[in-house]
Amino acid sequence: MNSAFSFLTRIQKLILISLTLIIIITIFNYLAELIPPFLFAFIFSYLLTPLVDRLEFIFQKRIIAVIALYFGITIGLIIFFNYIIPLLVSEFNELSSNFPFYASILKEWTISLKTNLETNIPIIQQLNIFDDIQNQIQTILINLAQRIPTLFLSTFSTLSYLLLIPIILFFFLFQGPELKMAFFRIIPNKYFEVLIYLFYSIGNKIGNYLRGIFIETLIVGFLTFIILLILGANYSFLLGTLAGIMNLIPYLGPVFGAIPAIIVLYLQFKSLNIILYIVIGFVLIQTIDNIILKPIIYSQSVDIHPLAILIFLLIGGMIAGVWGLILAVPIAGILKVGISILMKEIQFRIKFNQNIISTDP
Amino acid sequence: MTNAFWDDIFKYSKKKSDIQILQEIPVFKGLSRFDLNKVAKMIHLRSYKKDEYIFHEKEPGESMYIIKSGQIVITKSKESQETIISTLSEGSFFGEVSLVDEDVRSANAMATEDSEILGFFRADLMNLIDRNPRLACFILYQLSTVIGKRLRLQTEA
Repeated sequence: MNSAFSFLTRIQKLILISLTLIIIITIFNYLAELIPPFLFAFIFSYLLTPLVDRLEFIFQKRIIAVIALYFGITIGLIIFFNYIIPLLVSEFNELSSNFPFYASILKEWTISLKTNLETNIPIIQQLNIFDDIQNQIQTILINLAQRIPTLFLSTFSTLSYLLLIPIILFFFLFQGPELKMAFFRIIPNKYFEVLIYLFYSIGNKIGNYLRGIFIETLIVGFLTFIILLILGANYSFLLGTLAGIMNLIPYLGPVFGAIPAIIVLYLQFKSLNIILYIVIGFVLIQTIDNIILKPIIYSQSVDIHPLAILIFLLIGGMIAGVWGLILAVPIAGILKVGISILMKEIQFRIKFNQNIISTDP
Repeated sequence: MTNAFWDDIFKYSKKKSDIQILQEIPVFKGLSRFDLNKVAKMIHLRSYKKDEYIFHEKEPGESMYIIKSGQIVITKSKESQETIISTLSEGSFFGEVSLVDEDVRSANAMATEDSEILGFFRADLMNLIDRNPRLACFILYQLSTVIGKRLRLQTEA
């Protein structure tokens, strides 16, 4: 590689590299539709590779391990679609059909709050703040109610993805090691060791992080579901799922997850005691999550500054809506892990090179 | 110039397969062919030109190398002069301490002729602990035997 391009000057190399980059970007632009299935298959293969490795130890042959995994996933999906999805959908339909009812109760409540506040603080009446807020909230609620059913499905509805991803994933899982080796083979000797080291350390961290997030979401969602079930709430499964997913968003997520549950429970039982119970329940779950789950799941914490998380959430929400919000933090985590390892390594190398230069005459 | 009459034109057929080479390395000694096949899948084949460095002293070490063909010299830099410690040829291995130690390399390795080298990485060995604990344990055991032997010879000398 070095010898082949050594006759070029630095600037010429730069131009060559940027030209290739531009060509690659334009090609990707044209084939943008094709990227998501590969990307998803790649992410899934990252998550599933350790599982396949373990299964490979049991079955001794990788192909059998992958087939066994697919078999397991198929059974899981059948259970998922037969029991869990209908449950979610029915709870969801019930909730949306009851939505006007909830909205009217909310309206009543705001009106009573308004009159209460206005008699106590007369200035508010003059400024008309409450009417504004009420109008705003109403439009937001109506918009939301109309959009809810499509909110989650819109980006994932393409059937071709559902067919393509398993096929691509199969080859990623089955031939993963060979693909990796083939990729390593083209690395020049000079950077070979460093790049392999980086590849493994970043890959391991990201894999652990993503698996951790996945397990945490499952456990938090399940615990919420159980607590809601004990309290006898309607839509407990839906609310539990929501709380689990929302838990991905740090700091604010648990609150977002709890608010719908609190509203639904309050409207169902019309007592403040139940709010107390559910708040205690959510605090308990958060305590378990923060004290027990997080330290166990993330052996090495990926802490990102709250402000950075906020920015990531805003960007994610802007680009891809609800999915953007949910995926923002994992992506931020991946970037953080990757960049931090890279920086550490680069610093180490710079120090090392300085040592060489200083020892050389 | 090549001389078909005198040159060893059967050299190619005599060339050992990766597995045959691995079989004779103490680190993988006693492994079944089945296991050797698995090890062979984790090994990276690299080719180095003459005078190309495989690794430098004080660089973080990540892997052990086995010479498939060619010749490697191990050198140590002392006051801007490189002194040759050892010359290794086909079938020898070096850098095995890096498989268990995350510290830096203690010497340079340079190819003195065009060489083909097999690299076995610590990350792969660590992954193997998860995937195939029995095989990984065995390799680690053999590795410690090799390192122990080196240590004993070093202290005796």
